[in-house]
Amino acid sequence: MIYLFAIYNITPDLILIFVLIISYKEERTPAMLIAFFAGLLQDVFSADFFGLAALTKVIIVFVASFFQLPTKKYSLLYYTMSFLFLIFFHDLVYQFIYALGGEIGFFKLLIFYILPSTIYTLIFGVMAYLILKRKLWQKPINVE
Amino acid sequence: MKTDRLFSYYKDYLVLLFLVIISMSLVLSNQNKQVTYFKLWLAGVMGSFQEGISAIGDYFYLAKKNEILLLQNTRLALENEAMRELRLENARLRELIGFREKSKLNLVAAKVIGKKKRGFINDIMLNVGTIDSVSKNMPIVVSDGLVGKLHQVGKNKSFAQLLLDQNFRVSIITQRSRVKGIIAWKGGSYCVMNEVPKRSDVKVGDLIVTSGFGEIFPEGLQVGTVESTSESPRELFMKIKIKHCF
Repeated sequence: MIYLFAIYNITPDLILIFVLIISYKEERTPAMLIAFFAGLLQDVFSADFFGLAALTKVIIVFVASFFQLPTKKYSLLYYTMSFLFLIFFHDLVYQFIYALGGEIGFFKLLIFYILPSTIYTLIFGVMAYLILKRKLWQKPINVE
Repeated sequence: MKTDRLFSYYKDYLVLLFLVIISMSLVLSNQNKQVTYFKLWLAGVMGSFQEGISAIGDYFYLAKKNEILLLQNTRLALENEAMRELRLENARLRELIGFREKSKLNLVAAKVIGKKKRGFINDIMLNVGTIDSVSKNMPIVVSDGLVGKLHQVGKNKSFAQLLLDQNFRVSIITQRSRVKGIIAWKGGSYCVMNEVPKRSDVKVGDLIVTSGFGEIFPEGLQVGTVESTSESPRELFMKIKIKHCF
């Protein structure tokens, strides 16, 4: 079976990157609504708990809104570090809820899935930053 | 006026609370028929788009696919020849000892139209549903053996849980020595055979098949082969690595 961008069972969460970018650009309420529907869409294509991705995406966007700067201009370092925390937190919550009652231990989950997945998703997140840099983050502000 | 101000001040928190309640209700009502129906309906709509997109992708792999199928066809033709001989021999033997012929499996062809692979969670979406006479918990097989089982079944789309999912379990036996165990996947390239007492007759290369003890999987579906075995003085059971067949 071939999975897009999959490396050793790890795939980047592109929807997570999308909703995090939205949360850095938009107000909290529309960002949460977008995250909810994006998460629901992700849930539709999986056989596991329907609503889990929607729940974690809404929570992470709410948390991400505290990282939003008033100028909405972000340096690469700030963006990377905050994304690292947010992606890690998201994967932690998602996998923790999913693995509840399962046989796979938390440590194994952390080492073999959460950390590699966080780093892999972050790489795509940074790529998105570099591609969208001019369009999204560094638009000149009109001074009257 | 005061209420309006209070609402606008706490608007974000109220929206958060509302969305969290909806999401949690959905998570907690996963067994609910209406929720499953809604999800499968939505998956059906989205799946149709996905099917169209994957059809475009398939076009570019036709030559390669054709080559693979040609090789597979040759191999299967040879196997078929050998099996025909065995079937005739088997029929003669059955007649001799008076065994009733075992029921044959009814197979329904399905196409994978969606995949989800997130760490220890692995499932696929198939283009078959109740209109194709499939139902929940039916096993999914490929020519090499067992792949998984149907988890959620809609009218024309279904979700399947794969053998390589942390929550998937099947009762299995070694074909040669009939040693029983339970297969589970805990990450990585291999599965493990659990609940096998030490000093059981399990050897590297032994073929693993379904035991048929549960009500879900029929007996004799190929699952994999034994890759390695080991015993520890501290543990009651053997450690058996299984190389899955797909």
